[in-house]
Amino acid sequence: MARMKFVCDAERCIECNSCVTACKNEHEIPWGVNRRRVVTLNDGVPGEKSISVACMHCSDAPCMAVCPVNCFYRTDEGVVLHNKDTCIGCGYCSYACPFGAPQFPSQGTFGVRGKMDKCTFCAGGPEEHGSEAEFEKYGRNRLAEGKLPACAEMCSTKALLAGDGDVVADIFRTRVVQRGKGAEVWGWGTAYGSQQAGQPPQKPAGAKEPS
Amino acid sequence: MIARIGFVAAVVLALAGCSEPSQELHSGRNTGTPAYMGTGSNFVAPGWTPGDRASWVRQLTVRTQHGQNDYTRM
Repeated sequence: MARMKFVCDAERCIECNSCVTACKNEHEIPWGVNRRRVVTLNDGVPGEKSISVACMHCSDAPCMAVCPVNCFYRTDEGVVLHNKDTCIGCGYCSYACPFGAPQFPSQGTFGVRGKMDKCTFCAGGPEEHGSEAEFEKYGRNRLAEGKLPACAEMCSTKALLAGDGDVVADIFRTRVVQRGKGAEVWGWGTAYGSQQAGQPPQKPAGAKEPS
Repeated sequence: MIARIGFVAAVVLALAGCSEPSQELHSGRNTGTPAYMGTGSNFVAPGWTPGDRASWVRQLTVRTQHGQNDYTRM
């Protein structure tokens, strides 16, 4: 199996926010925390585009790099998870993440941030799979139930794809070939490297701009 | 003899201050069990065997294709 990845097809996203609702409902996420959000670019302008954004489970995750207590870990499937028992709520991951994925509860006492919360790719956390403790801290563990993330499975237009990177990339490629446009996958270059769909090829060092 | 023992004791005491605990990062990181082990609950999707990684991977691939690929249903 390749790595688990999200793809949001901006040609299909209709900004219905069902992914956001599905996520909040599935994991019983408290007010003030949104693990997933829908962002609209050029809102109100003809040709506006919407994308659903959450933790992309980056190949080289900046949150993992900056965490002072090393609470992040990556599963064999490439899902970036964190241990809330270790997290000290410093917020460094929030500043480092290019997608704004790490969230903090807003009702902390004396301005304390509390434990960081983020998308788990519906893979729970380090607690026992399916346990009450895991649900309380991280939400449902759908991957261990043989299911895919709730946001993607609930997406009404199937704009949001989640699963094995090879499989979702194949599905997206078929769509692009069929419709002949919309090959840009926003966020993939940032999350998984620059040699991805929709990204310009990297220039070798010292290469000159064409005149 | 007493001087020698005293000297050894003094050396041991002096060198005891040179020992240093390891400064490696230890987060006590608990990465849990793999997802293919299942949850043991009644909500597990049918069609695969918990504990069998190959069947879990197959289940997710089939679910992705069936649930998210419109072109396989046309």
